[in-house]
Amino acid sequence: MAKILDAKMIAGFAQEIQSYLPMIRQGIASFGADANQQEALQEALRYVHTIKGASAMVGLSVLSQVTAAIEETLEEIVAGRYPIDAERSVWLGQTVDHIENNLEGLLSETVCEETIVTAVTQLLQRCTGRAETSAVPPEVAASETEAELAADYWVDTWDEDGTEAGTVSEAPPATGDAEPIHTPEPEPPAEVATAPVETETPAASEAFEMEEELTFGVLFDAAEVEIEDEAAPSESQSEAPAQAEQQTETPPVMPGALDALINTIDSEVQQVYGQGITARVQHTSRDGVSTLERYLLFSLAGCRYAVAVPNVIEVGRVPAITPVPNVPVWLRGVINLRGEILSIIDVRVFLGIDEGYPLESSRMLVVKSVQDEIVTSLIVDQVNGFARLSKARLEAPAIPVQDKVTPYISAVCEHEEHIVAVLDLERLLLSPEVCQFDEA
Amino acid sequence: MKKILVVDDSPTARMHLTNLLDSKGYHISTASDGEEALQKAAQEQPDLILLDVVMPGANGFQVCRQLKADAATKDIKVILVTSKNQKSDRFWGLKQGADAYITKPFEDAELLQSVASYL
Repeated sequence: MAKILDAKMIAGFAQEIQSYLPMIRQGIASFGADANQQEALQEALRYVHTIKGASAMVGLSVLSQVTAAIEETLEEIVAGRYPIDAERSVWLGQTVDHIENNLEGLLSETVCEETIVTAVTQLLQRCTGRAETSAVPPEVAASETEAELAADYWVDTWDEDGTEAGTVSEAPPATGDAEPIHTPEPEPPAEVATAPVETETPAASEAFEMEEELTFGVLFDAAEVEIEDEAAPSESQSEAPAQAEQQTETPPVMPGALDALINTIDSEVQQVYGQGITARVQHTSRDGVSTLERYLLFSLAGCRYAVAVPNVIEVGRVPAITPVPNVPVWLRGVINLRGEILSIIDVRVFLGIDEGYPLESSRMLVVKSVQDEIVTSLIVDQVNGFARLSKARLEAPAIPVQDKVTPYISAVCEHEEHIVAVLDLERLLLSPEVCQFDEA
Repeated sequence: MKKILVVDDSPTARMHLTNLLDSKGYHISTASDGEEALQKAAQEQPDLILLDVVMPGANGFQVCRQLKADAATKDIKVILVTSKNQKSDRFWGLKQGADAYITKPFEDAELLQSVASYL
């Protein structure tokens, strides 16, 4: 991707990068000296990201690659996956020095790619405590394991009896050997929903984190097929084979699995958001009959809950939390989400259930009230994917799910042999307790 | 003549996009952060906004939500242009109401085509 960079642009970019470097160094040093200096590190991360993006845009691929590696390392440190102490902050500083010393060469693309990439990645590997391997650019390594795990994930997921199939090291099957869902009968995907989290082995956990992001789309797809069969039995006969057909076209071949996943997510987003922009509740299902609303399912202390998708802005791992003094115990503190400061609420504690966080599977949901007045984040034990729940089958709670929880439950529904309690998010977000402490 | 607002915290990125689009005859204005972007969007009423995600202060996701929620700016097309290239990023980005999501690095031709299709 050769782009013509004029001298003026190069000079301008050099100046821009030079202005960021002290900030980056400062952020790293501050955090190395005091682990509470989260914001300083976040800022360093932002500058690195900016350099990565701008260099990618103007075609400086080596610089972009190197800054991507730094960004990834900083992200892992910010997420608490690796510590940063004085020694490591020195190594990170050396990485930044390396870029500065080679800046001219990087901007004119005359520096030897291999030497600088090797040097930087080795320094960063020391930071994150990984064994020093040969100079494999992090992006290449990551994409290989990502595709590999996508294949393994598909193998585990579509095993017919729902049990964990094989080990993570199982070789991905060739195209023709894929096991498609060929029966329209709903299989219990309860194991499916939890399988990817459980099959996570320590060795694969790093790369799996990237794959984790994809699981929502995959689970969504699985849930889609099941629910629509149940909800519209007469129509499903013609629909289900078509959907099964679709499923057969997505066998676990790498990297095809990822492409299929992207297509699924893209087409779904297109469907729901193609017509309008505002993400209000969409009632239409595929055949246009309005029966189903879309929910995100999650677990707290073994019980399943659901929250309407239009209320959910984002899902992800729980970032580093900055505690805030003099607030209720359920308000764990605040998080910095790409520059936005949000309160983070421990839903278990808020609802009077015992404390559970942190769990390996704990996740954050960023939610908003329908009128956008309140935006906040929640900690849940586990995210179980998406489902369409039929409005007709949402009943007011007859059996109390849990005593202190009942006021916040708007309805209860059965979904794949689980009782799912639909959380009344509006009530929770607009409750006096939450409003008082909302940061939005 | 169609108006495009380019939002990015990096001066180099802004310059690159400006040069690229200017040569195709669009009228370009720029903003370096979310606040400026919202201000200019309301004031200048561009036909399209190219919006970076990671910026100081308000990030592109927040800005996009705000643009789409405000009656004065909700009809302006928004393309998120970012180096956040995970599939989940794209999914959540589009959920903010953006009309399209382009990842850096991009082919200039690809960007131009996308821009043209939304104008």
